[in-house]
Amino acid sequence: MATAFAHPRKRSWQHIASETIRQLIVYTLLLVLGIAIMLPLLWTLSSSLKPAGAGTRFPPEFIPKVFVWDNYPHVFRMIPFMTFFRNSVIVSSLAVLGELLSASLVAFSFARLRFPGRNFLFLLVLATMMIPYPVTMVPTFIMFKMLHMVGSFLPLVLPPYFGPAFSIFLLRQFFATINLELDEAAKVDGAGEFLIYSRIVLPLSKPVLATVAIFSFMANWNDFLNPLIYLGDSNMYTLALGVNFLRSFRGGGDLPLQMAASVMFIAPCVLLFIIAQRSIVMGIVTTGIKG
Amino acid sequence: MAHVQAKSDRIGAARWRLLKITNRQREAMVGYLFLSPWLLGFLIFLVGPMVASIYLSLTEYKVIKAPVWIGLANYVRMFSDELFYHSMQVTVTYTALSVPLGIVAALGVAVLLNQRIVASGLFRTIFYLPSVISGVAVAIVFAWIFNFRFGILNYFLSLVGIPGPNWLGHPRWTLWAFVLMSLWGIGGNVIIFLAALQGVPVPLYEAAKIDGAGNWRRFWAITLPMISPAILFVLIMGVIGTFQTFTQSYVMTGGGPANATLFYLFYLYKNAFNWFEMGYASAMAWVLFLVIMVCTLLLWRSSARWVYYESGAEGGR
Amino acid sequence: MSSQFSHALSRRQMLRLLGLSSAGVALSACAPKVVTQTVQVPVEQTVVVKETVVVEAGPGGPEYEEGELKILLCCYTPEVLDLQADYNKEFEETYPGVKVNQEQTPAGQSYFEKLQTLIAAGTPPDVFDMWEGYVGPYAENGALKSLSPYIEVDPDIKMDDIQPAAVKASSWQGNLYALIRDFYPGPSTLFYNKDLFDKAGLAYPNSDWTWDSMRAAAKGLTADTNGDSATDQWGLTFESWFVPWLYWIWSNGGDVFNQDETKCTLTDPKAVEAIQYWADIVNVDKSALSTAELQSMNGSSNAFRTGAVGMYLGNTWDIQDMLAAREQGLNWQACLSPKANNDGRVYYMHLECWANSAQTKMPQTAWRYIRDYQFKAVSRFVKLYPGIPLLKQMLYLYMTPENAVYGWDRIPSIVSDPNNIRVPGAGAKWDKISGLIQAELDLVFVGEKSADDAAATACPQVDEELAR
Repeated sequence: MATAFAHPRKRSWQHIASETIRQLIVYTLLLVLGIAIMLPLLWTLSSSLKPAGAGTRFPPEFIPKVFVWDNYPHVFRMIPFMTFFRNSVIVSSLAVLGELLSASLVAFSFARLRFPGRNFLFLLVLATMMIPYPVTMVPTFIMFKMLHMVGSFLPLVLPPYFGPAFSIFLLRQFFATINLELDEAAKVDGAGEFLIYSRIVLPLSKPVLATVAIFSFMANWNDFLNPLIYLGDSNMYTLALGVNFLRSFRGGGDLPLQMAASVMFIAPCVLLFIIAQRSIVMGIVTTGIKG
Repeated sequence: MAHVQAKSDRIGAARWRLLKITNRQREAMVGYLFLSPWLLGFLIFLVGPMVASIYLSLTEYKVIKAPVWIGLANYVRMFSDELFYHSMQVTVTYTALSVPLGIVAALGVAVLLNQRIVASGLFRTIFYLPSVISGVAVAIVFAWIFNFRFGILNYFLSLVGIPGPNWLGHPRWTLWAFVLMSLWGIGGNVIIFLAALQGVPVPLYEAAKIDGAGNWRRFWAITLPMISPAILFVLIMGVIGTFQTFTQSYVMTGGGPANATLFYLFYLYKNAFNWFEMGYASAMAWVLFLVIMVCTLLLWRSSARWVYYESGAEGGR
Repeated sequence: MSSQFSHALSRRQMLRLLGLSSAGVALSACAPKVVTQTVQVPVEQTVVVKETVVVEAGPGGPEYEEGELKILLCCYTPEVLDLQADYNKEFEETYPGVKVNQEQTPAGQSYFEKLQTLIAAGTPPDVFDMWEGYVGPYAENGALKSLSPYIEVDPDIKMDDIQPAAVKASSWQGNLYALIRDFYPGPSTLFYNKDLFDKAGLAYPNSDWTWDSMRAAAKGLTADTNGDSATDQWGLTFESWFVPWLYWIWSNGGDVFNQDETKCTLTDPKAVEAIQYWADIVNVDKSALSTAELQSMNGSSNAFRTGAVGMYLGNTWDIQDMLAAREQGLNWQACLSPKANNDGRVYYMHLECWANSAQTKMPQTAWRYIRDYQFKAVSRFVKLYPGIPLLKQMLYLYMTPENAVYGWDRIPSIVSDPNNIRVPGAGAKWDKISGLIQAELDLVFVGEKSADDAAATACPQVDEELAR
């Protein structure tokens, strides 16, 4: 890690050699693991370009003999892709926004502020994640029905604004690692909790906030069950539902189409991840300076 | 500017003291204020359904017909239900295997990615991607990887002289296949560990090096403690999440073969939606809740001994 | 409410009246509007022109309710969506004031999650898809509306015109609760690879084969064609979920339950013999794909289509895939699946049907939707999912030349005896019971247990379930 600070006397040939070997090992491991990890995606990509019916040959061919690019526009013909896409974007962005706002506030409270019942409440937060969804699905649906929200995006968008447990937990763990002295210094200057939260803690937490944003976006983007039961009008369907509709076709010959749709479906998540990566990198710079 | 700010705050503080509210109490109030989004959400969106599901666990509820009160009969039934024990055993085994393995693997990868290497961003993306891919594609790819004849796993095993087993078709091996499969999804934890690793102040390492600490020593004495909050997080989330494994068995094996992959949540789901036993399923859900709760509490309590919070925040009390 | 025909005309009088009127004649505003459609129904040699009647409301009271009719559709294809779109449009035109609101869910269990959630919340769809085996449980729990009163006064649907097997499958305690669109026996079809048969010099299968003839052919077809001492060509492949094993057990004369479904009879020799027979083809003869290899090839249908297997025990819906495979060069043909060695042939009944919600606020309209479907849409539906239509008068739709080639034209006569095409029984419990049995049979097919032991382990569990 901090090899640049090695004692000058130790920079012998042996050292350089062992360094190189070390780098080699690292790169090799990463490459091997990386390829292994990439297999699912590569296979999805290559299958999306195969002609109908060719997708289930065994042994499977990795690189299709013919690239059927038409599979992609074909998806647009089969389902109103752009409508679904738009709906997913709306729902997911709104949800991520809410999640970041509320989860960071709540996590800050758990990490920094002292109040009676803090530990108990925090465990309660954790506890809410332990209840399997099939049993709360029906009562939750009935509740939303009583609030007249069924059939709109509200059941999908509102809950993240009220502190989703996973993000709270994650952010709390990270906020707790931020040096308390910073807080103390700010308090001496007379800053209130909210300022500490917004001017100190948040900026230092860019990597983990970006992480939360990614996780939250993906969870929402991929969510299939909630849109299924809450959305009725097919114009409001999200893309997760829409892509699943391609599965309805009897006969597996449409695997390439499914794969093409899957590729387009995961593309925004990948893009978001790449963008958010820069935030993580910026975060490195910031945390590197502190302390 | 700070001057003015300080003055106004002192006045503000004075006002608080007039109201006979101590600093402690004020902090508590602010604490609750910040907490309010979650509190509201909990009360509105969660309490209702939770209470409802407790009530349902005491009924016979066929979903398409109104619930009928039967008291604790569902819970009693569980004690003599063989499939209940079997599914619990499958789930516990799987969790005990895949969570620790996953943490070690994710940490390893994160450490690798944290080295100063070229294209680290690219590698990061690569490792995260599997988590992005939806169930159908994953199921199909793994059906191929674990393929008895043509799968690459058995191919590599054959290179080493081991005859590969029937991973997905034979009851003895399917759960192991799932464990291996769980390692593909470590991307999320890699990201978390990476963010944690990058939060470790570099000067700490420098100081240790000057004191003569080697790589391993540095790792054990500095890295691990500094990222222990993240490890705790991943551990607890891993336990909570893995106990609720569902999609893999739903999509890939339907709980088989011979119930080898009958996960608890899958068995619960079948009761709820296939067998018109929502009441029994609700009871099962609360039993699972208790089990997870106990495990989490144990982990949380133990964390006081091994988790180090730089801010001095209390954990595990 | 069932006074849709408030005029006390007998059916014959009605027919005579309609025989005189031409299509789309609007009589005076006081009398009910009569819109007729003509359907040609060739029955043997004679051509009988039947007119189907759709009666609209007159001022005597609503014959149907206006408003939004909610439909929930499951597991469709684009062609079915088109069919639905056309039918819905036609329905709205025929019944002014009715708006059809259709929702659909993709294939898989998610349909029931949505349906049950909607029912539980008190907002069930008016008309929805049902699956075989669920009609009983749903009816028992009061979710479905009895259709028998409607059929009694319907001019065109008569109980004795309905296929008896369909009656059995969609009834509960004597009342009919679903209108089947069509039904298919399974597994009905033996697909075979003509090239492999030619190479082995064996005679092609035919619809009169027994299990023994099939087994012998399978043995003859199994070979190691490239000399690497591993079999790469098999005689037979089949799936081992409950549809095939029910077919084996039933055809051999056994059953899973006794008559009144109080006891598991899987341990009876006939049932055990059937299972062991087919398991032996895999484990002893080794002329059928084992589970490991079946896994490798991604399922029997796929394995057959790669050309590595001589015969495949399949279903009517495999046809689409097979036709596609033929275009890619697979030289296959099909015939009826073989009879048991005792000449028994009993199929499992798959079906597609509509049901009405018991809580619907538009019962007349909902009924109209599903009964008009029989006359306006089933003909198109049967082309997409070749199955036996509900009404005997529609059987001609199924008796096409193509279907005759596969031997399917013999199916209606086979299933005219309702004992030859069954649903498993035990209603709502079947799903769990089949899972218990499947867990044991999985072990039989990997060769870890004999059918005897498997049945002996499974039966007590099944009995426990039945008793609850």
